[in-house]
Amino acid sequence: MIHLYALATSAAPVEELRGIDDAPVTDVDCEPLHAAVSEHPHPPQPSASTALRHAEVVEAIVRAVPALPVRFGASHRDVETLRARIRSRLPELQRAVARTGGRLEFVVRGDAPSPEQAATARTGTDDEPAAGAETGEDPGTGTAYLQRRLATVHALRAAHLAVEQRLDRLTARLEPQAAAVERRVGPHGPEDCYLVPLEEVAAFEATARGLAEDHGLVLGGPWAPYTFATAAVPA
Amino acid sequence: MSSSRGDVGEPAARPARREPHGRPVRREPLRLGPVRSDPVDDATLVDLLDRVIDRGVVVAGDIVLSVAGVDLVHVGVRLVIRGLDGPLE
Repeated sequence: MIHLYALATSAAPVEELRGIDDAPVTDVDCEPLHAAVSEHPHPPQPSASTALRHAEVVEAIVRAVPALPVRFGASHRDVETLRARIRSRLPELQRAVARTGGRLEFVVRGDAPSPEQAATARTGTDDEPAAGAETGEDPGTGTAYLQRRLATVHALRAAHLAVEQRLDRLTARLEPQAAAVERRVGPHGPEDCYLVPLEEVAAFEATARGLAEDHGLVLGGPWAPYTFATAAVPA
Repeated sequence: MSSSRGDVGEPAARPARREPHGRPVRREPLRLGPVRSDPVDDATLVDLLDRVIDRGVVVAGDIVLSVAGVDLVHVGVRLVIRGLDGPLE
């Protein structure tokens, strides 16, 4: 079973890299691209530590040669199957590596409120909001329950919009330092993803870290450009 | 560096080269480095895991860990992320 980490325009010096389950990482020539892979008797375990090892290998490769980060979670039967699948998507993979190769990704985001926080913000109390209280309705009824749920959805939507507006206001000066910017909704709500050339990473990080510290934002990265590879080669 | 045309892991020497856009290709053996600053308390660990399992290039593979079309690798890591950081959705 073949586990794929990255697709590159040239062979990365992977001979000392150890991947998932400490398996050696090797280069497979998939002319004209190169695949960094490891071989396993079984599919990888679905754990955070396995996914992180995948990320570590990917990161080492994308910092060394122009490469596309591959999503964790799929395995290939053998090298020939992998080559055939790469060949079938070769034009878009080549365009993608031309766009994202030699670049890393940062994320800047706020902390989106949980549904409970949003509800609290709307009602101004930590207690469960008694929506029926406004209408004189029994808060225990189904209608009251649905009203509370609806109020929470509205509060979350408003909080989401507020985070987006805050990002718009605060992060504008990062955009000129990036090759591309994408607004996405991540696990914590709206986030701005920045594609930054390797040679600009230190300068970008200094600016972004200052911004994050001054305004209570969260800065992540630099990582392999997963977000931008997704946009360039939709699944 | 190593290269393979047949099986995985078959080494083959190649001369040092430059990419077409001029950036020198690194030739010394790669080492794994940390992808996050703090292994225990990193506010962005979930952001990274979300990228690793939900973004990045997909070269359709043989999904082995699946039941009724549900990729269990994906589900398993999602559950771990939930454990780290509460609900994602």
